Amino acid sequence: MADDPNVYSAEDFAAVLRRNGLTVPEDRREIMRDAVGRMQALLKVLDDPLAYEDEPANLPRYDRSLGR
Amino acid sequence: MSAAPLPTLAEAGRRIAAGEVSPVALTEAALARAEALQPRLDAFIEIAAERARTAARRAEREIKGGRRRGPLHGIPYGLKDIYAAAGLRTTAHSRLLLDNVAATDAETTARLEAAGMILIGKLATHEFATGGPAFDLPFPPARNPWNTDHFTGGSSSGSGAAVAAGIVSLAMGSDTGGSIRLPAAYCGTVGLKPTYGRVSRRGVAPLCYSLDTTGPLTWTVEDAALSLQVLAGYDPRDPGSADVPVPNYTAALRDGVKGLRVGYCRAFNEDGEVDAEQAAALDKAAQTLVELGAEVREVSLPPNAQFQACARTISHSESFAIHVKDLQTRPELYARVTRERLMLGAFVSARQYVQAQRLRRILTAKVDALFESCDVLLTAIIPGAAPVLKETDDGPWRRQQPLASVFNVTGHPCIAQPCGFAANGLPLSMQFVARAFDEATLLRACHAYEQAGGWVEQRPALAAI
Repeated sequence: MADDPNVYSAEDFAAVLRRNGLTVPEDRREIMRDAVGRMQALLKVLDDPLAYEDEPANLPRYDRSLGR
Repeated sequence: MSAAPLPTLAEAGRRIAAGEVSPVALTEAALARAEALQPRLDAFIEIAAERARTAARRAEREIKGGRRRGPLHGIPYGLKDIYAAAGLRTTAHSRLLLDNVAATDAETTARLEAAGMILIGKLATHEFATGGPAFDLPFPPARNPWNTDHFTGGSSSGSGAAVAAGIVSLAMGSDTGGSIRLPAAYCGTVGLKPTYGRVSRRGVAPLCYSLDTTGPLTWTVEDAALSLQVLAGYDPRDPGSADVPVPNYTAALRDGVKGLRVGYCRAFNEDGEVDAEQAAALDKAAQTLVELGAEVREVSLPPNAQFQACARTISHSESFAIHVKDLQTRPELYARVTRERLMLGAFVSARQYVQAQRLRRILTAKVDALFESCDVLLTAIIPGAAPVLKETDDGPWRRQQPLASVFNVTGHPCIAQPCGFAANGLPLSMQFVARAFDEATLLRACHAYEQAGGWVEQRPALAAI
């Protein structure tokens, strides 16, 4: 789980890269790993699941049929 | 003519109609200015001089022959180099696309060409409209005409520079997280991000499918209205395009703001770490609107952290999906900052993406609710004047323009426009936001403020070459 706070040990970070077929130069690995950690901290707000009733039924700006 | 900035679209159109200036003369002026300023601004990836001259001669023949197509016929413009223009390269400012010659026009390019406009060149961008100013690319980053040591903002960097320097009066940009409005703000121009779905994206290099928006950077609000009139409309070949009637954007432009209900998102300044000069300029703009007869009251947006979580999750996931193959097979061709930024998408989970899209709907509904008691919102768009231009050296994670991406998440139309100057002479800016597809009211509010603010009269010193 990429959003597990404990997942980004150096080994797990490397595993995500390997799974996605990506390479990061050695001298940029810690910088990238730090960036991932900071990103995950920001995304914590997404941890709580939403109920159906919390979500609006539709959005007019994404409705292609509007105005037809 | 090369000594002065090009006239606005509206003024050029009037002068062409009156026979006071020709498309050929205007085009030559734009080309001369582009060439003269290129060593200082690096605004262009390519200046398409011969193509422009051919188009200008054709426009001149048509107009002289009584076949004037409309108010933009015979006027030069520029394209951010992620827009396709048949026969020209679309490099996206990247080594990966150096030989990518477009076979057909983007829908937006086609619309501008059909209106008789004259493309003079392709403009610098951040690589693939993301990343940041980078010095390890085949083309240098654009520089701010107000002070070339400073950043233009991005990613439509060349578009902001070219319009501010008076090379063209319309340059197309794209906005996924502020990329039209930020260069407009830092370069002191008008930048219009239309409602998501209002303007086609077909033929424009994608960055994030559900956030990308295309729109104009111009010197005046009236020019933004004239541009949108041509650009707006349903495109069945862009799956994000909305089939919504296009009103006359200039008809109500001069109706003023008397009685208009303006929601001033003043607390938002703290979320964006807005500096004292910028905050004071916003307060003064709000006061100006009151003096013009608007009803201004403070309103609050949902917590900025929620918008940022949505914007980052969606943008990293979608841009990674677009670029993963090249990141796997030829990562060395990207600028380092682009490559590392794009790779962050590998670390976003499916659960986070789903939650972000659901939270996005809730946030959009909350912003929609504000428009039950407001006609437009007034917010900050930049924390302060343009910083010094330098390669980002703080790794791939940066605080990513928290003031701008809010309305990419919600899809509402918004405009960045000048609202003063910092002590160092660089522009300050503010943002108006309107209901989805209500660009007409948005433009009306911006035009009224522009007329009262008076900032439009001030050009960068280098504009007088």
